[in-house]
Amino acid sequence: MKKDKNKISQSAQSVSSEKINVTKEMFVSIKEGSLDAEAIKRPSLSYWKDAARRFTKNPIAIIATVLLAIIIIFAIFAPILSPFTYDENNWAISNQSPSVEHPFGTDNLGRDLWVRCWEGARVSLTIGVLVAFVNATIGILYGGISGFVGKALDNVMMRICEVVGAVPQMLWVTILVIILRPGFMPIVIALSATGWIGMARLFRGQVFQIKELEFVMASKSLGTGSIWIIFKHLVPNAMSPIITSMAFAIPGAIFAEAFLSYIGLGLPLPLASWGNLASNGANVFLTYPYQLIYPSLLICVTMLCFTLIGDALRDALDPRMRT
Amino acid sequence: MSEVLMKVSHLSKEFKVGRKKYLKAVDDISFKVGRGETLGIVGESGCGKTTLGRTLINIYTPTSGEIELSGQVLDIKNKKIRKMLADKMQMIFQDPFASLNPRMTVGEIIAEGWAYRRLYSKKERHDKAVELLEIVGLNEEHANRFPHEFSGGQRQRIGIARALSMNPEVMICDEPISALDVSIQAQVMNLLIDLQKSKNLTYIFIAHDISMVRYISTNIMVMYLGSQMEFGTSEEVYYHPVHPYTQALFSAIPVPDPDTEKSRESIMLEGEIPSPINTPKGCKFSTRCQYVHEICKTERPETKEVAPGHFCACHFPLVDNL
Amino acid sequence: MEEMILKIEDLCFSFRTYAGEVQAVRGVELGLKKGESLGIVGESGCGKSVTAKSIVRLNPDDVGFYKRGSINFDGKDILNLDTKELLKLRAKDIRMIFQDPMTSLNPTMRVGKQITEGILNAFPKMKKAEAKQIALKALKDTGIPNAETRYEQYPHQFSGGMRQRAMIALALAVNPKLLICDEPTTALDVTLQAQILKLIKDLQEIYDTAIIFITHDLGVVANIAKDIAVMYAGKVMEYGSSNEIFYNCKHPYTWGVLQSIPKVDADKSVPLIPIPGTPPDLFSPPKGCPFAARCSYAMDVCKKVEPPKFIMENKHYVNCWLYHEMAPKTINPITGQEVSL
Repeated sequence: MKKDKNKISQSAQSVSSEKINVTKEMFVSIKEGSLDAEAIKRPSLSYWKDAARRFTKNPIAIIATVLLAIIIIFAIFAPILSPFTYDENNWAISNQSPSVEHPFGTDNLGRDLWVRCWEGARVSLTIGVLVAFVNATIGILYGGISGFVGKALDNVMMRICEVVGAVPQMLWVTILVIILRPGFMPIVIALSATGWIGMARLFRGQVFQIKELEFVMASKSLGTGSIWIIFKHLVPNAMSPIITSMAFAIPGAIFAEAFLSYIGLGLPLPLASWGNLASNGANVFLTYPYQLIYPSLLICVTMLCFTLIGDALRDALDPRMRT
Repeated sequence: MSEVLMKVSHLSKEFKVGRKKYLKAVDDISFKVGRGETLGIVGESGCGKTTLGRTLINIYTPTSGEIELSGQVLDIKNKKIRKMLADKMQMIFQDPFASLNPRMTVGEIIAEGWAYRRLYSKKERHDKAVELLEIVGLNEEHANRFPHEFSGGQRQRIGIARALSMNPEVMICDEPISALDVSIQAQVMNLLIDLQKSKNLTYIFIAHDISMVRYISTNIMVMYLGSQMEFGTSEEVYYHPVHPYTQALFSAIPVPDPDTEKSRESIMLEGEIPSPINTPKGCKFSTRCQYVHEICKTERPETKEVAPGHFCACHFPLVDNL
Repeated sequence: MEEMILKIEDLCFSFRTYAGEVQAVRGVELGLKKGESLGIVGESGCGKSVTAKSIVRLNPDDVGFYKRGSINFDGKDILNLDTKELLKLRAKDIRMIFQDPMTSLNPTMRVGKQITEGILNAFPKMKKAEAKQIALKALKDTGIPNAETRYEQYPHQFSGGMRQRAMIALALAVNPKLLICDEPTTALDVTLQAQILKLIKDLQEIYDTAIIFITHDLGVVANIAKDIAVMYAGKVMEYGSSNEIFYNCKHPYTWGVLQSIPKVDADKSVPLIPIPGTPPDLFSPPKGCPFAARCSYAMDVCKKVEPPKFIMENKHYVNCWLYHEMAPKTINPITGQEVSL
C-alpha cells in the first residue's frame, strides 16, 4: 500500500494516495493572518429580495402572473378600444353567437358581451382587491391589538370574533346587502363586514409568537416603546402569512360577488359584473351557451391565477432558508 | 467586594399557570454585585436563573422585592426610571438565531437604541455602529448584511455590539455561549473579558457550563428550583462547597481529563428535579439530598453566613469542607 | 485476542440539496473491537452523526448517497446488505439511542409493549411470555422503579430521565453487539447526565456491548470512551486512546480545542486561546486539509494536498503534515515537546 514517493520514516508508515508530488518547498509555514476569516462571500440579500428571487424562479408563478397581467390589461383597455359600450342596447343583433365583430357574442338586449365581460372584469377585480385590502387592514389592526395587549382584552376581542364568525359569512353578507340595497359600495361593505375575522386571527397568532422572540425582548431592553416594537419588529415579521392570505382572499371576494348575483343581490343592471353576466348566461345556457361560458371562464382563470400566485408566495416567503 | 453596584433584596417572580396555581420561578433571592466584578449564576433546568436575569432587566416585572442600582431603588412603575434603565443595564441573549430581527440589517440592529431616541444623524449612527462592529471583531462591510448571513458566533458578537451601544454599566449574559461550538466559545469569552477590562463592565453571567462560569466569575450563586442554595467567591464555592446540592452538582460535571474522571467519586443524586409548580415542602432539595434529616422536609432553611462572604441555605451545611 | 467487529473504511457520504452537493462525510476510517467503547467528538457539522447513522444506513436515501467506502460489521458488508438482512441487523445486532427519547418511543403504544415487540422482532421464534420477562428485566436493569407498573404506561407518563432510561432499555433488551449513542445526554441536566452515563457504563459491562458514543462535550467523552476519534469537516483528524488524546494529542485542531477550554484551576487571568475563524462550507470543501485555514501551524502543502495518515504506537494515528519527515520542527503546545511520531 505504499505508493508515495517519500522515504518511510522508521517508526511509522504513511498511507498516501496523492498523485501530486510533495516537495520540500511546500513545507513552508504560511501566515494565517491573511485569513479572511470573517468575510462573507455571497452577495447580500434582504428577506424580501430573496423571496422575490424564489418567486420568480417558480415557473407556475410566472405563468399565473403573466396571465393575470393580461387579464388586467384587457380589463383596462378593451372597453376603451371597443366601438361598443356596455349598455348599448340593439335589438337587431340580440343573442348573436361570437363573431369577429362581437368576439364574445351579444346578449338578449343586443349588448356586446366582449365589452361587458371586460367591464365586468374591472368591477369584479376592483371588488376583489378592495375587499382583500380592507379585510387585511381591519384584521391587522384588530388582531395586532388583541395579540399585543393580550390577557383580558385579547380574551374579549377573540370571543367577539367567535360570536360574529359563528354565523355563516354569506348570511351576514346577504342581510347587509338587502339592508343597504345592492350596489358597488354596499357589496364591498358587506363583504368586508365579516371577512376580516380570518385575517385577525392569523395576525394575532403571529403576533403572539413573535412577541416572545428574543429580538423583541432585546428591543424592549433598549428602552423602546410599544408602537416602535409593533411597527419595527412585529409587523415586518408577521406580514408574510397576511400577504399570502390576501392573495387567497381576492378570489374569495370575486366568487362571493358572483354568488350574490346568482341570488339576485348582485350589481343592478345595466352594470356588468362577472357575477351577473354568469347569472344571466345561466338562464339561457341551453340555447346560447357562450353567454355563460365566457364569463365563467374568466372567473375560473382569474381565481386560479390568484390561487397559484398565493401558493407560490407562501413558498417564497417561507423562512426555510436558514443555513 | 469593591463598590457595590447592584443590590437585590428578596426578589421574587411568580407566574400564574392556571386557576389557582402559581409558579414561583424566582423565590426570595438576595445578593450584591460589586462594580467591575462578575457574578456567575449556575443551576439546572427549572432553577429560575433565566427568569432572574429577565426580571433584573425588567422584561418581567418582579412580584416582590427590590433591585437597587448605585444606591437608587429601581421603581419600575416610575417612567423616568424605566427609561434610564436601558442606559444602565443591557442583556446578551442565549439564542443567536432568535435574538436578531431577521428583517433588519446588522447596522440597523446595532443602532436601534439611538434611532429610537432620535440621536445622531443617519450617517453618524452608521459610523458609530461600524465602530462597535470593529470592537467586537467584525468590520464595516458587515453592517449592511442581514443576520441570516452570519454564523452563530458572529451573531452573538453582533448582540454584544448592540448591548454596548447604550454604554451600560451592567451586562446580563444569559447563556451567551451555550449555543456555540466549543472552538467558538473561547472567542466570545475572550471578547467579553476584554470588554470588561476596557470598559469596567459588571457582568451577571448565567450559564449551566460550570467550568466557564468558574473561569469568568468573581462570585458564584447556585440556584435550585428558584431558591438560592449557596453564594460565595468562585474559589470558595468551587473547591469548598458547603451545600449538599452544590457538592453533588459540581461532582456530576464531567471534566475533560480522563484520569480525574476515572479516579473521582461522583455523588449520584437520586431521582430527578421536581416540577417547579409543586416544589417540595421544607427545603426544596430535601427530596434528593443524601444527608436529609426530618427537619429538612418541613422547614425551609434560612440563608446563613458560614464563612466571611460565603452563604448557604441549609440546615446542616457541610462545614467540614471549608 | 479480540477481533474487530466494526471496520469503516474510506466512508464518503453526501447530501443533494437545492444548492448543490454537501459532502458531509469525506473519507472516514474507524474500527471497533467487541465490548469496547469509542467516542466520536467534533463540532456541529463535522459529520459525526452522519457517520454513525451510516453504520445502520439510517441516513435518508432520497437526498443522500454513499459516494464510496465500506462498512464491515461482523463479517457483513453493510452498504451492500439487502433490506431483509439490514432490518434483522437493526433489530438485533446494532441498536441506536438518540438525543430526544420522545422521537424514538412511539407515543401511542405502551412502553412495555414496545420493548417486547422489539425483542420479538429480533428473536421471532421466542414466546411472548419469555419476551415480556426479558423486557421487564431490561426496565429494572435501567433503574426504572416499579417496572411492572411502568411496563403498562405510555411514554408521556414517564419523566424525562425515565424516558431516556426506557429508550436505553429498548435498545439493550435484545443484547446487541453494538450500541450507537447519538448525543443522548446533550439535552439533559448535569445531574441526570451523570446518572445516565453511569448507567450506560454499567450496562455495557453487564451486556458486554460495544459502544459508539457521539458527543461534542469533551468532559463526557473523557468519562465514557476508551478510544476517541476527533472529527472535523467530515474527516477524522486524529484517533487514539482516551489518555493519548487528552495528554498526548498530536493534531493542531485537538490542541486548539483543548487550549480553548478553561483548565481546572485557571481563572480569567489565564487567557483562553480560541481557534480563529469558522468551520468550512461543506458545499465546496477546501482542497487539502480542511483545518488549514484556521491552523496556526499551516504550511503551503496543507492547503494543496490532503495530509496522509501517520500511524503511531498504540494505534494512535493523525492526519497532519506536521508528522511528515520534511516538515519543520514544531513544538506540541500541550506536551511542550517536539512534534514527532
